[in-house]
Amino acid sequence: MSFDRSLHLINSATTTSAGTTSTKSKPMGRRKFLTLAGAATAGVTLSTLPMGFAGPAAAQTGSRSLVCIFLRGGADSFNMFVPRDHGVAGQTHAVYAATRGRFAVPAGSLLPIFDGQFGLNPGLGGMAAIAEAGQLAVVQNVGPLGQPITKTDYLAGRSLPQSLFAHDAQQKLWQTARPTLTSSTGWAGSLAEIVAPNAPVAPSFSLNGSNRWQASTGSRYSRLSPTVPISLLHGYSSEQRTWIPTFEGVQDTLAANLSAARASSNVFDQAAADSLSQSITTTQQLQSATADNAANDVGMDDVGRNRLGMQLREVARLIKNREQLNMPRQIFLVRVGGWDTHQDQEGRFPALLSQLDGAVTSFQNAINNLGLADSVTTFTASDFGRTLTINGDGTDHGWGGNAFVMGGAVSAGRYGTFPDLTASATNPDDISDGRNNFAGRLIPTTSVSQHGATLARWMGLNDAQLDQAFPELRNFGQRDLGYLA
Amino acid sequence: MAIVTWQPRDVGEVASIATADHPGLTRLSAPGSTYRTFDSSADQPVGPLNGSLRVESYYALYVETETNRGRRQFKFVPSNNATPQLRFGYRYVVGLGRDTRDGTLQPFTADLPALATQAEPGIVIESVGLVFARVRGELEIELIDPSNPVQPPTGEITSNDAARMLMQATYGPTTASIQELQTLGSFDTWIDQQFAAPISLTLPYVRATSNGSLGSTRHHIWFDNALNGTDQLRQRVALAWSELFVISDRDYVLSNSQYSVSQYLDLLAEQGLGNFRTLLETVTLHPAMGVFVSMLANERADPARNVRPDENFAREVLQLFSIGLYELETNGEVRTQNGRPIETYDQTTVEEFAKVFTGWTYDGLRRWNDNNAGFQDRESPMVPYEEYHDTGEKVLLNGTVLPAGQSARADMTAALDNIFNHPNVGPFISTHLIQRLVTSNPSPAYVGRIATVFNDDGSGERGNLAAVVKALLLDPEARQGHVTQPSTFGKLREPLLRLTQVFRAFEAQPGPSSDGVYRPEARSINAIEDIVGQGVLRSRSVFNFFRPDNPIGPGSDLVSPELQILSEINVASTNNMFFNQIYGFNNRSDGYGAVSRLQVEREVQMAGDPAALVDHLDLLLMAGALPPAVRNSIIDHVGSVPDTEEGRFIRALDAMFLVTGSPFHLVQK
Repeated sequence: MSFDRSLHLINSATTTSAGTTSTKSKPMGRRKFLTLAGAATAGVTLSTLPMGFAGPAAAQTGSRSLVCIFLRGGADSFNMFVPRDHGVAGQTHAVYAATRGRFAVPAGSLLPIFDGQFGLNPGLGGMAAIAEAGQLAVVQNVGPLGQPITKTDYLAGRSLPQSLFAHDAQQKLWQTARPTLTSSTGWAGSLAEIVAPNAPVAPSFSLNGSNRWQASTGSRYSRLSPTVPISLLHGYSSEQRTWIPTFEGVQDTLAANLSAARASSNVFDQAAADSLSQSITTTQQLQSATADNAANDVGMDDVGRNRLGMQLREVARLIKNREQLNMPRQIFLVRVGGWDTHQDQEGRFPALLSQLDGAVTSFQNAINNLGLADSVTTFTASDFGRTLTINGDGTDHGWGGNAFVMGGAVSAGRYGTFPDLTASATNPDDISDGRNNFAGRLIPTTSVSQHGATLARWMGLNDAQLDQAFPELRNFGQRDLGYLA
Repeated sequence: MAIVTWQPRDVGEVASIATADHPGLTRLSAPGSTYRTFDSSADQPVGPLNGSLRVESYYALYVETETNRGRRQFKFVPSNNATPQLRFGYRYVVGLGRDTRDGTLQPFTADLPALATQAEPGIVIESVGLVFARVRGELEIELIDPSNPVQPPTGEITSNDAARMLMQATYGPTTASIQELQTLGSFDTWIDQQFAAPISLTLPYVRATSNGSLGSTRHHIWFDNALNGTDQLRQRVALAWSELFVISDRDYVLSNSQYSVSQYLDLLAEQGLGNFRTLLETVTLHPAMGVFVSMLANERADPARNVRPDENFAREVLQLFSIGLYELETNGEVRTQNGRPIETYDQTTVEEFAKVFTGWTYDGLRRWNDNNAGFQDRESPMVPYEEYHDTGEKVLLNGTVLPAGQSARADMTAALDNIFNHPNVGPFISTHLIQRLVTSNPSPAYVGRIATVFNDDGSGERGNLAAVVKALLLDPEARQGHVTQPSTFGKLREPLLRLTQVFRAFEAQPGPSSDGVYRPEARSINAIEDIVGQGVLRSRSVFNFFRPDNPIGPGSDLVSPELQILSEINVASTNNMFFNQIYGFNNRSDGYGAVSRLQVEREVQMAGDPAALVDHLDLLLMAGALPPAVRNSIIDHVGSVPDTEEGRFIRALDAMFLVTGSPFHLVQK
């Protein structure tokens, strides 16, 4: 047996430092394709995959995709959606400005939306245009709650969500829609289990790593990267390595050892095998749909190096291909950090807004151009809102914040109850106990349960399923916030 | 049947056994001192005894149990002490006995707290009891302190054991380092040598090769130190600290302050084996941390303008650097009340600590608000400006009150003391170090033993990190956990450590046109996190790349922090990186000259004997953990490749990829 010693040829045909994937298809030849993890043959035609979902007939016409934009760190959303010409006492621009001091956005700078009583931060021009097109809703003062809570409840320590003001805890409460940290699965995980049971590749994708929102016992979400393209695993895929003449034997041995790891009694062996199997399946199923080629062009090249935009571009590709992927329901998480603006907020916040606004605008345009606006709903989420008062050059951790929902199915307007912004210990919506420590940490007036349930209902959950996915929903009067048609 | 939880009592109580109750028995000694002997030819109950017992001359451990069918005894032999066969619903009294069948004397150790926790859930060892001495001749009992675990006799380190220690305590075993450790014959001595090795630094190289705004040089020297530094254990511990006291040069200011970031890393190495209180203060006052978690230039409150102090550092120093969110027992278990974990602090406490951390900024400034970068000393500890420090009273943890009117430094010192002395610190820090080096799910008993060393190293010092690190590596659970807890012991390797391990194992050399810089295939080392998911001081927030409580799966009680960053994409890209590195960038390859080359000649030489080759790789890369069936399948494949000169080359590469590309290589145990 002879072989080509110049194994450097491998470089020219595989993933190189530029990160470009070889999309040259290798001849299958005599090689029997390894079926691993029950995957179908590699390639795009996946219409044979069973992809049923269970849900009430009412809401199931056509495909639907749900996109969560998680702003990690706690976004200062009371500077994103601001009273402008709003007359309710305690909620006027004047009160807002007095409380926020140097950080207050002047009324004249705000971009009026809806009836002009409120406006968006001038850094959100694209979102203002989306609002103008009737495709934006604002969920006011929303946050984790197990039941409605008053200031008196807070000061008495009654029924409070667990570990308020801590980043990771509050992210988990947002993602599980529970008031305590007892759940290791999230409401998107529950959603995926219901709308896409038994899917070989769950239609649930994260473009920024592990999260609890999509975690589920019955369904595995895929973690994709906006910068590293999907490449098939050498040794575990159908790719030929004819310059390594023994490679067929290597592939067979690797496959057998993967099975051995799966059967190991050690939980880490099992987890490693699971990750490897999932990677093999996902890369095979999705490589074609996510490749950076003309067929997958969604017209979002204007995002450039905008990391959120790059994630949303991958989302758009997967949405565009959802029929081919046999995914009538899809769930996406995109996420960026940097929102924890304890310091230098005046320097950092405009850049954060610009990143968000640019990404969202490009994405919404792309979806509109694909004619899919009515079937794609995007919403923002964050650990918490921030203190209304400042710490010198930044803000600290709060609780309630404003969230945005975008898409053609949205009924434009503001939902929930806007809070009192008065800098006073007697402000009923703030947690201060009167020891001269007013910070402007607002008690949410709408819960994540209600917010999530509204979105989940749009995705096809019925009332019984909603109560299961959102166990605290029954503690609130309004089960559907009404912003989705 | 009622089950009562057994609380091990101080071993000191053992000394109070009255000899009058036990004819033929002289008084048992206190822990650490030597044994007693007695003669007996009949059952002689002695007890109750508590804590751990190291028993010379015992042959067996008997457990006597009261059951509904009367008194029964179970015998355990030393080789089988991992499976005590204790069953839920029985009350046990543990005893020691001797089998005189062949009269041989064997050392025997029973860690009774561990025995209790390793039994089925619900098991209680109600009292450690009765020594049954069915002996003729001598019976020697030594009582040992459970926090001072037994070490194996010197000179008996197997190659797998050596490789396992090196996997836990270095950036990866090498053939030479395995042999050296075996020859030395003592883990304890090896650890001492590691503590004394010259410290590998980052800053001198970075200063010499860049103006401070280039991130890549920091990574180049880190990689070089990881591959070639002699102070391997110190560096591993420093890496562990970098994942607790997190800063990241994704922050814009820090990305342009690489001298500062490099120096921070060096301080973690220099002080990481010293005292924790000192390390905590160094980290707190380092300007890089001041920038990253915004304590720098934090001003006291200005109520007229609704301005409060920045709470960022106050919160994270408690949640992430010292005590965590919930009260812990010494063994790390969360304390609960009415089913809910007891929180260690509330929002008010955070606000109080925020007041402490006011008035600090760069050394060297001309005034408080001096924004001229030329005057910002980013390497010296921050200095106080009293005018901007909150001088009110502050109420800290456990009701400690700092009186009004103290200087910034006095408040700082008192606050750090207050944090340092919180009972959570021992288990919190011990768990972190154990998870970074040894295993993701240490038993509570293990955590308790190490936390006890943190609390008091034996000479009265709290926070002796060298003692803690030594204890956690020498602990029986670290050395034998893969045997005693085969299903749950171990961890997924950190991606960077998988890479360094392979590079060290095969003595990687910088590429021919790389100017001596190590570069794995596909990326320069400072952008490696796109491929493997992790980079040194490159996490996206102060919460590090992964959380210590990341579950291994939804609904599981077991955790796997490293699983958090394992994604479908980086599993594939890492797999392909190793593939390309092995087949495409070995010492016989031409091609892209900047990529480092794995040296494979030794493996090629061994390839004439497939079993020897595979065993060599199993030892070097897995500490012998490859299951026999897997090992055999790899040997079979290697054997199927023709044994020619060219064939041996391919045999070597195939074997290397079959090990590193298998899921088993993701796991350390």
